[in-house]
Amino acid sequence: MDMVDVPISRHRPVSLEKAGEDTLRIVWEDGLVSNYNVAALRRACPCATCVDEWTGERKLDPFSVLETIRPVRIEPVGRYALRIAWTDGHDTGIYSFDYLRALGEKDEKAGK
Amino acid sequence: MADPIHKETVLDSLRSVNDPDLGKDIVSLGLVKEVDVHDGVVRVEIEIPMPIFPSRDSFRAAVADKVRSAGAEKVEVAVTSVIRGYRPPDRQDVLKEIKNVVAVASGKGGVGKSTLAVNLALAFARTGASVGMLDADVYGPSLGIMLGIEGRPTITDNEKMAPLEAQGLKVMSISFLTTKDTPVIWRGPMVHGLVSQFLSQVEWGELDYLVIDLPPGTGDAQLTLTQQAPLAGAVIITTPQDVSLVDARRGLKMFDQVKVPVLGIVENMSFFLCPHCGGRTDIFRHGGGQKTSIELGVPFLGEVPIDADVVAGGDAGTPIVAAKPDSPAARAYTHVAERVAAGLARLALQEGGDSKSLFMEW
Repeated sequence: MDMVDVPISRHRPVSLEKAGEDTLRIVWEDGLVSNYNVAALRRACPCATCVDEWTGERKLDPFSVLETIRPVRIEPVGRYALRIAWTDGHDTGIYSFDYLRALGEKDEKAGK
Repeated sequence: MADPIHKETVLDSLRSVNDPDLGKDIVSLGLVKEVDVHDGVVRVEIEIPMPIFPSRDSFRAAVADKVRSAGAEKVEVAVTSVIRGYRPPDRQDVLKEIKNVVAVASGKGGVGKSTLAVNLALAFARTGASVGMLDADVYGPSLGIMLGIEGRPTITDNEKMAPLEAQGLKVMSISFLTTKDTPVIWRGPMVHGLVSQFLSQVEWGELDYLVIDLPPGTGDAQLTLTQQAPLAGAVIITTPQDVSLVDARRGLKMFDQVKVPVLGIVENMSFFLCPHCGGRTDIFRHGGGQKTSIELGVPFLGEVPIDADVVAGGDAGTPIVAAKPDSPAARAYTHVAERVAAGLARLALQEGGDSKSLFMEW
C-alpha cells in the first residue's frame, strides 16, 4: 500500500524568537533561519490598508513607520500565516508563511 | 533448546517493518510499545495512533513473521490503538472534546458526498471509535434519511443541543430543526449564523472523529466552517466525468486558500459491478479522480463503485457499511476511511507538538 501524503504549507516555521531588540527570528522546518528587522517587517505589511488590493500598490508610506516600532504580539492564523499586532496599534496584517519565507530569502540574497 | 532471543534482536527485526498506513518503520515511528521475552515466548505490543481497521490482521501477521525469522519460536503480537487528534493551532478552543474534525466536500451536487460522509463515519465507528456527524448541508440535508432518524434534539443542562443517536453515531442536522417538506431557504448571513451555532451549541461529548457533510460547491457554509471549525482536513469526492473534476479542482483551490489540508480525492461511480456476473464496467471512463489528484498533488484515497445496494441502503436508512460490511462497495468505503484516518494520524504525528510555539509576546 502506498503512503498517504498530507500536503501542508510549503514552508512552516517551527519557532519564533526575539533575536535582538529589533530582530525577529524564525526557524523553519527545513532548518533555514530567517532574521527580520521588525520595522522593515511592519513596512512590508501585506494587509488591505497597507497595500491596494486591486493594483498591489503599496499605500503605506514607509517613512511613517518609525525605527522604534515593535511587535506587541504574534499569533498563528490557521496553519498558513502569522498575525502581528504592532505598537502603532496596527493589527490587521496577516503574513502568510510563504510570504515570510520569501521575505527571508530575499534578505538573505541581498546579503543581509 | 536454542538460546533465548534477546529483546534487542526482536527490536532490530522490527526496524524493517513498515507501518502500512503511516509509511515509516514502526520503531522510528515509536509504535512499538512493549517487547517482552518470557519463557521462550516473545510478546510484542504495537500501539497505533489510529483505529484498527481490518487490514491490521495481515499487519499483525507480518510483524509476527518478522520476529519469528529473527529466531523467536513463539510470538504473540498485540495491536492496540490510541487515536491521536490534530487541530489547527489557532482553533484550540473550539470543539475541544473532539480529536479530529474532517469535512467531506464536493465541487458539485449529486456525486455521492453524503453517502461517502455517512459510510466514512460508520467505517470509523465499526473500529470502535467514537464518531459524530454534522450535516452542514443546510440547503439539502439528507443525513436524517440516510441514517433513518428523525426527531428534535433535546436541550441539555448546559442549554446546548444534544445530538440524536443512530447506528452508533451522534448526529446533528438542520433537518432536525425544520419540518420535513419545507425547503430550506437561507441567506448568506443566516447560513453563517446557523453553522456557527452548530459549532458552538451542540454538546457532542468526547469524540474521536466528527465528520462534517458540507453542502456542495464553495459558498457561505463552507467558508464559515473552514474559518471557524478546527478542521483537520477535507476529503473531496468527485465522479470521473470531466465536468465534475473541474468542480473538484475548484473545491480543492478553496481549501488550499484557507490552508485546510486536503486529505485526498475519492472517485465515486468509478465502475459498475454487475450483481449477477460480478463483471466490472467502467461507465464513465474511470481514472479521472486519480489523474486529478496526481495533477494537483493530493493523495488519491480510492475509488468507490456504483452499487444498487448503496443507493437503496441510503434511501432506507441502512448505509452499506453497516448493512453489508463485506460487500465490495462497503470494503471500498472502509478502505477510504482507513486512508483518511491514516492521513489524520500523520498530521497529528507531524504537527502535534509545535502548535504552541508560534504564539509570542514581544
